[in-house]
Amino acid sequence: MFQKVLIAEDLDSINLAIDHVVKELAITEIHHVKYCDDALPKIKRALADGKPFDLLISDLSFKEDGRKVALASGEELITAVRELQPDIPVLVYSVEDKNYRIKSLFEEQKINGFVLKGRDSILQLKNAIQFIASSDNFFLSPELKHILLDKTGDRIDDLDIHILKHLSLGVLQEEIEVVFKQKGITPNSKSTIEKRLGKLKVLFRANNTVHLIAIAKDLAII
Amino acid sequence: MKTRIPYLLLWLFFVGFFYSCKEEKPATNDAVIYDYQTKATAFLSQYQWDSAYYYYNKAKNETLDKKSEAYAYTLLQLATLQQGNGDLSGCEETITDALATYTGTTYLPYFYNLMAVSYVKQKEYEHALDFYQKAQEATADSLNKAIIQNNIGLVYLLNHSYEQSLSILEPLLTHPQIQANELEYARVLDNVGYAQFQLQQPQGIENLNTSLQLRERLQEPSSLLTSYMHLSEYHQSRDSKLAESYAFKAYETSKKVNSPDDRLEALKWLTENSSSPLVKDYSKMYFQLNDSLTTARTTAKNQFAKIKYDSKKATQEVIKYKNQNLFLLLLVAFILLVVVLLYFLYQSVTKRKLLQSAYLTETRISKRIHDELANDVFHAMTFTQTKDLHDTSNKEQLLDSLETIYKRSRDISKENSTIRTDDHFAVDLEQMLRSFSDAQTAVIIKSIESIVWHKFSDEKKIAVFRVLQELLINTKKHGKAGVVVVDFQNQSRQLQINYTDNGLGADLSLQNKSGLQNAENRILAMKGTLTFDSQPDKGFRAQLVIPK
Repeated sequence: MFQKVLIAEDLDSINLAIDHVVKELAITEIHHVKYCDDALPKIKRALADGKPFDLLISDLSFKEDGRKVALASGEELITAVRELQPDIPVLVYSVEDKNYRIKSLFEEQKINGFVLKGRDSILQLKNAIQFIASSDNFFLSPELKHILLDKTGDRIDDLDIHILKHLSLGVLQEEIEVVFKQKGITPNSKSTIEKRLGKLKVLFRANNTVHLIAIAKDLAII
Repeated sequence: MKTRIPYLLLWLFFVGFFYSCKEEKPATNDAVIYDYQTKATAFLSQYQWDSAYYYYNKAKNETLDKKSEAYAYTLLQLATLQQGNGDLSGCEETITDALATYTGTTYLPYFYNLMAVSYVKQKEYEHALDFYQKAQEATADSLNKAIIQNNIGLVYLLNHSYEQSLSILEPLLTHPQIQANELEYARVLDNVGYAQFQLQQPQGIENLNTSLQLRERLQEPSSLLTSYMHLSEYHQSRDSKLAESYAFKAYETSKKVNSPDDRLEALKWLTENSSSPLVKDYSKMYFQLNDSLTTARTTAKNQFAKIKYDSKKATQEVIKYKNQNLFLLLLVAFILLVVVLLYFLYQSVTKRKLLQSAYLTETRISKRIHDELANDVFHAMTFTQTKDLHDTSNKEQLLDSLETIYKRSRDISKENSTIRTDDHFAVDLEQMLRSFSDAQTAVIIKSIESIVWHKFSDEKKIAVFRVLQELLINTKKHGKAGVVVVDFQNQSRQLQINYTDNGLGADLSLQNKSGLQNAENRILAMKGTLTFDSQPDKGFRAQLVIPK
């Protein structure tokens, strides 16, 4: 379990909640900063003293109060901290639920966990800290799990439209390969068309091919 | 002449360069004119008529004040040169021009006199006498009057009215001013002698000889020439040897004066009076000179006319060019002014639109906070005041309603948060669209990879992002759609996005219009279009077009 934790959070009420969780986990050394800029000297000092922090818990958004800051957001802070101490585990605790922002935190900043502030977040935070301490994997609030699923499958292109159009005109699925070859539409292998149709049925939530065509017609994409 | 050319070119450049300044500073102009006149006079003293003419003509063109004495003087010199060159009509034209503008009196008698001489040369004695009369009236100087009187006498002399001539000329010999001026006295004496010789009066030869002696002392070539000719003529029938020697002297003198007319006449005399074997040569020279003179005269006349014409044309061109430049300058200034005005107009319109759009957004957010948050917060407050929170079910109910408020406030923040318009835009946009996908609704994205986003301005990217977000919120809120298709079409000059869902469709006339209205305003501000097509239960369609 971690011994020395740095918490970057500007709201006192939330700090209280985090303190509560961290103490429950028997972590003894807790440091707080309300500005990102203040975090770096603390990290440096700890490194110089030979007693580096074991964990950084950070918010993403910090209130602006007129003070000129070098690091304005959690993302910037994490990047800067990682430059000083590359292996420090980072847990983000935020209201941010924009999936692309969370995704980039995992992909670019390589954070170890993300807890969404919400009704169950106190419990989640506890779980997250324990998880990160004992595992190499990352933690993500359950309500956000869908973000990291591979969703490039929801893209369609002109080939999909060609398939749907030909089907709607009465061309049988088996015949499409031949027709596409005649018309010079590629790719046109039987397996590709089969895969595409399968994907389309899932995407359009269609029970069968006829249903798929009906939905596509309704949506006027063919 | 050669050494002067670089200096002249430099000067021309200088004049061209400071053309406009010059007009405001006539003082420098006077200096320029004076410089020309000085040069011309220098050439005159060397009998270089064409160069003198060139500079007088320049001086004429430089002079702006056509009424000035300097201008009149220049014209007088030009006319004199034209006359000397045999360009009599040019001479008359110059004088006529001068008389039209000249208001002074100083040069008036000289102009009249010159005009009269011109008529004498054309043997139009009546006109000549008229102008001599005018010249005499115009002058107050008694010497000048006497000189003109001599010229009048000469007219009669040339017209073979010897007695009348003599009656005019003889009194002049006693004229005190004439007597005081040896050159003029010699002239009158010569004329008197010639008239007497023609009238067979014995004192004729005496007077001719006295005049010659005087003139030989004065060494004035052109008057000497006249004496030699007269004497040669006198001796023609009396002593041919003497006549020949005078004719030879006349010929030699004529060469000095650079007067081909006189030389020709002297040669003619020589040919007629010589008995020496040289006579053949003389007559040959006479014909050669006569021929070349005719040619030269025609060329010279043309040349004089050309100098005059060229400089006139150059002046006109300078004015024309200046006018053209001025016109262009004005045109450019005008266009600039219009552009600047249009720019400011465009700026103020854009600014007003932006302010309006910002204001609309503000009121919309304010309304949402009131409608979606304040009411529920108030409701939660009343709940805590009225219910027993130790009761677990009450506590859960309060937490539920607080969670709803929390989520709503997060939504409002999300919908108005910053949009990254840099390289992240494509990914962020796709993720935003995808974030509306859930168990109930599938968001399908078509051909988004075909759009090159960096070709669009930040404002356009933001508009696309916000409008699609607005449409999706609309679909989620009211549409109950199973599938949403967002179709990106990369067209040559624009981006077209077709948005369709298979939900309930929206009644565009109802309350949810404000969000869509806002979306439409965004697109219109980017000169794009946003069209909706929706009927209840038939899905919702929108077409968004944004120019590149």
